[in-house]
Amino acid sequence: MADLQLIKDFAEVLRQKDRATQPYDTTAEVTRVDEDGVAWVHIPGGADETPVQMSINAREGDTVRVRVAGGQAWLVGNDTAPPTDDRTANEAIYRLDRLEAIDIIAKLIKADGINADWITTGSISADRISGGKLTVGGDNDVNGFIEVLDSQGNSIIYINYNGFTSFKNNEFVGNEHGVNDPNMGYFPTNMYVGNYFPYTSSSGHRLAGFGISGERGYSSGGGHIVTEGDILFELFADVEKDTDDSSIKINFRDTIDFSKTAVGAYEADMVPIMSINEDGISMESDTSISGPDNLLFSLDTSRTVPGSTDYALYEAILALGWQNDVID
Amino acid sequence: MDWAKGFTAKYTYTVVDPESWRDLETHRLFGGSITKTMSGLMESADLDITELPTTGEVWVRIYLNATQGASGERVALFTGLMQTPEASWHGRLDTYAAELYSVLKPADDVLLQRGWYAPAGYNGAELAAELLGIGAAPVSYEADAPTLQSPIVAEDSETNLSMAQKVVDTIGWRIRIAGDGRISVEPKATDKVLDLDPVENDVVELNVTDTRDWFSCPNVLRAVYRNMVAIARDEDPDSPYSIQNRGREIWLEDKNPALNDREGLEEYAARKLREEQIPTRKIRYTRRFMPDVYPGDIVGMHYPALNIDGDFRIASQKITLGYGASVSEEGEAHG
Repeated sequence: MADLQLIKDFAEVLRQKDRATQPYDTTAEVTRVDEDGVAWVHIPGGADETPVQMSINAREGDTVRVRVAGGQAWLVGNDTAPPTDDRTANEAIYRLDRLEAIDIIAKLIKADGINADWITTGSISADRISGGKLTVGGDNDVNGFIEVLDSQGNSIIYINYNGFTSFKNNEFVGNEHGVNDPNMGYFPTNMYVGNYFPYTSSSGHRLAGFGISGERGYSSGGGHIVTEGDILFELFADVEKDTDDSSIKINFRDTIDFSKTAVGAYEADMVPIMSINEDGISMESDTSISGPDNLLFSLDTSRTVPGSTDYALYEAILALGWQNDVID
Repeated sequence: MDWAKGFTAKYTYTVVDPESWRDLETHRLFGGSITKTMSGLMESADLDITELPTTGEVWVRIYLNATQGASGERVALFTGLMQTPEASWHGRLDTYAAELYSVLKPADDVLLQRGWYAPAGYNGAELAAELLGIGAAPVSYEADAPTLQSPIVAEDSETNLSMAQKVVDTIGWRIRIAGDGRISVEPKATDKVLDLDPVENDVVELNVTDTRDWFSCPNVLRAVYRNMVAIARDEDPDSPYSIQNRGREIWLEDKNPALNDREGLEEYAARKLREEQIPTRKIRYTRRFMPDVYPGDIVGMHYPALNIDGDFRIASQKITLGYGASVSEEGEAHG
């Protein structure tokens, strides 16, 4: 009976014994990698996927070594992309960096100077540009463009495929270059030259000239007011007509408002010398009209009618005793 | 029937239909014992029988037929798997020593695939029930179980049973096997199922063994969670368990910390060390049989004359199928 009890006790021990589980190591294939640092692997002969803590890097398709212990799986090696010793890796990176740097320097610096083809980023100070010819645009069907900014970064002048454009009150010469009298106010002006001059001669030739048109001129001291858009003054050379006898014509456009002073000549400090308006040509004392013989006043008499400002000017000229034939 | 009073005990066993889990034929039983614990297969039985029910394996259920005067009660003590008994002959009476495995045996016989894992976020009780449901015994679980916070990957030799127990341990629940073999996954017991004292319920025999285990009382605890480690040390000169007062370090490692809300690992380690520093007090005693008391249940023991007055969680239980169905139990101090 004692033997029977011993056998029973032994059997009970076997029956009650926990079947101990054991940690193990295996290889596996990475099936996917989560963003939260969990790699999913397939262990040969096992479940489709098992979550593994990614203690070293691995990518999908890598063959890795996995340790399963304590209810967790750990990635302990990567046969596809084994980790490299830090020192060796750093040296390799350093060598690679140096080689790349040498290659770049060789491309940039030539025996005869710097190869500007490799300057593709950053900016070059304009102080470093001088002499020679500055060419912009043209290549690769690109329009050239030069822009001048003020200190606030505002565009002042463009030079582009349309030509020369000023953004400062539409003036090529700004206010600070015009008359600026504290009593008279300032006289904004537009200035145009060359082909912008919109007139042609009777024979169809384009006239070279110089003109000033008013836009917003005003005076606080009773000076003349120019209606916006009116042409105040045009000076041009009729080179076709006077090839052998160059002359200068002062052409008063018929849009001038002669209720105001149309033309004035001043000494320094704005002392008037002469003015031409609806009352005629007025000369200040101890002054007189003088000038070369070819000084002409041009007035389109065909359009002058009594009572008009042009006619008043016509009469004023006649009153001066000038020859009628000078009146064109 | 008053179980605290004396009763006459007779035993039978029945063959159980694995499909319906109902009793079929009944056989006489002359003696044996049933052992129940809280780990592994959790329970087993040895029977002395005179009738061979069948060859091969068969599910059987052991009954206690108690009579007390004119009243009586039939209580299922154990249900398990019996294989063809070993035969021995003693004169004219043929007896057989039958070994019975618990209803968890089928779950212990199936290895999980390599790489199998219990997924995080899964209801722990439901998962354990699925793993245990591979056998014939009915399995139930309470639906409001905690979920797994991280996956549990199967090791080598991992079975359905070992994984189910890991899952249940992780969520802090328990597996309970009733006498009729029904398995349930449920929270750990917090209420007493029985109060024993010399006046109202005097069923304990006076052979109590009371021990206090200072050897397993740590003064350094290392909590490990993934790549994080926190170490708590008892260096309090007023603490009887401190390193200074005990003159040496006694380490305990906790690899499955159950952190409370907003509790850091260091805070957990300090709390856990305080909890673990109560020297484990164990008592062993023998009592009369009381139905529906299983390992994991809490029993109140009130014997001031023996300096025993407190609650104990039953760690193991052995029922002797003999006179009075005496029960030997080992309990650990609770609370």
